[in-house]
Amino acid sequence: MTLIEARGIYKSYINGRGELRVLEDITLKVEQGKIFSIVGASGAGKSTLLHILGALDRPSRGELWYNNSNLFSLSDRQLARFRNQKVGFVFQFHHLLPEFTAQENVMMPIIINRQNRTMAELRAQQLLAEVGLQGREHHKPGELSGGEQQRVAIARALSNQPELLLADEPTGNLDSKTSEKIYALLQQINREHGVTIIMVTHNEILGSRADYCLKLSDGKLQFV
Amino acid sequence: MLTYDLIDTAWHSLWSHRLRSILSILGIVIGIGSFSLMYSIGEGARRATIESIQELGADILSVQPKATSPRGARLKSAKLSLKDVEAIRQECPSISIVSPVVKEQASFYRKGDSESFAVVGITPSYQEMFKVKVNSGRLISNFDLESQNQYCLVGSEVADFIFDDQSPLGQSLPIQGYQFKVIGTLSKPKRLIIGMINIEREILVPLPFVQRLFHADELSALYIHAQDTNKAIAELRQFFQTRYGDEASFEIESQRQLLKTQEKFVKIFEYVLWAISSISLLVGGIGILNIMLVSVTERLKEVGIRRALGATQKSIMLQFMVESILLCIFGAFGGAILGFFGSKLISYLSQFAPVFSFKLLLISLVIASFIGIVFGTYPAILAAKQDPTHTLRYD
Ligand SMILES: Nc1ncnc2c1ncn2[C@@H]1O[C@H](COP(=O)(O)OP(=O)(O)O)[C@@H](O)[C@H]1O
Ligand SMILES: [Mg+2]
Repeated sequence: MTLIEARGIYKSYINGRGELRVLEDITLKVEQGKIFSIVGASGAGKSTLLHILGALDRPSRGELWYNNSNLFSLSDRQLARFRNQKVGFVFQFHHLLPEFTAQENVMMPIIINRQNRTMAELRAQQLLAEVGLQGREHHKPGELSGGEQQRVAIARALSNQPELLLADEPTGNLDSKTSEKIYALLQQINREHGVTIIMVTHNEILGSRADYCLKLSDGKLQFV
Repeated sequence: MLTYDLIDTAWHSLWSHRLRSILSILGIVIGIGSFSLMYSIGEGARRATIESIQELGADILSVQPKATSPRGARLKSAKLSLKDVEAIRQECPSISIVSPVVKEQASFYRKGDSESFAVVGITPSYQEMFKVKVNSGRLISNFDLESQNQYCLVGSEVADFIFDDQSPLGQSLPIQGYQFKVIGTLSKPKRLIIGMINIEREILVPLPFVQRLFHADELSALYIHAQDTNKAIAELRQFFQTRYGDEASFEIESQRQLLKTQEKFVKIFEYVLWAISSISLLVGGIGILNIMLVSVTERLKEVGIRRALGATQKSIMLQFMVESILLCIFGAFGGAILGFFGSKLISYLSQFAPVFSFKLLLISLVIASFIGIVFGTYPAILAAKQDPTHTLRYD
């Protein structure tokens, strides 16, 4: 079953030297419950594609279909709700808010969804335990290691029980041993929660372990 | 986000930059501080005027011969005598009490220092009219006038200068070579008697003596009790017109009119103060704008993250607005405290009592919130409109 479908996505930027075509005619059916990996050179447009798939950015042209509706015909407000409810983002640079504790960071999407604080706390504690960070709830990101920070980020991405997890080089800043563990955690989440995962990576070995491996080059996406 | 979370988030952000937050609200603190101080001064002045008017009861008019005509020539006809007092009582139906006064300046010496005080010849009605009270001793009575007692009353400044810390009571005071026995010291008036007399610098003496001492047939002034100010003034004008053929050489002033004039000055004072505090609040607002712009630039990544997590542009905007309003509200509290102690200081240092009310605090908060909204909007829009993907690509 297709969870989300990209049809003919184009994205270009206008800069000083003219038009920079980053994505050209990207078409992709994302099958529910699978793990996809995307590899490609730096600057190939992987992050751009991930942002568009997560409805955080609008393409220059093209459609993104979810549940029989074209997402980019929706309002910014509705897209924000889609991101909050259906999508979880994990970034290379964990992007946790440094002034907040691990638990508060995980609570954030729930709070944005206007949920009760006590419930958000319980949910955050449960998720932090699940990613192996029990007892670290009240640590700030600065007091955690790179791998732990990424675990908090993963817990945060899961807090509203999304259907799609978008991970942009989640192991890009980690050593190979820690990268293995983070990947194992993502696989576990995929198995236990049935969350579909699209992961951009530089790590060829990890990339090849996904259900589907894609390569982005010259603005085109191909299965490898 | 819920209101609680909005405020909590804003507080987090302000607290993590507390020094900067405090510095950025200094302008607002000073602006609100000066505003509330000025407002409380204005309020105090207004109340004092109203109370004076109420306390006054019947109005007091003063009639004085003008020394010179508008062209500068000495006016011969402009003289008041005791005959006028009687005539006014009879010819002006709305005037009942007329108090004649002769006022002369005399110099007094003490330890090589000299000062000039007013020697005022009065009748007891003067004391009633201006509600003169004694600290010690007693007032001048009709009996003193009739039996030609060489008695006097001294105002507080006079007593301080001439008798230092000795009690003046029973002492004799030489005026123009004659000895006067001090029978009472005057207490400070509760409220200033505006424009007409300055009781603290006066020596009150039975009227006939002053006339004799200074060889003054003329009266310096008449003080008149009037229930109906306008009617009394009209009657007086008529009186002087028929008697002297010239009503313009006498100046008639009313306490109530003087108070009204003072009220006008308070108004003008208030306008000036409003202008000053608006300017300082404007400067304070620009300070807020500045710091909010810094805050937004610093936190573009945070904005990007929140947007990725599903925050709407509206909620991002609200978040920064709340932060800006919160800053201004803290500033308002700081300013109100400043204004409160400022007004306490003023009432401690002077007779004047500014009025600092709860209402003033509320007004300050409303003004501050308004400034927070006005100067927080632009940075908030900037934050909300920012492309979130940009900051998320990099560390
Ligand atoms: N806002 C922008 N304006 C202009 N060019 C941009 C902008 N954002 C990204 N780019 C360019 O688009 C290309 C793809 O960027 P990105 O998706 O981050 O690549 P990747 O994640 O594959 O390294 C890069 O060449 C980058 O410089
Ligand atoms: Mg990238």
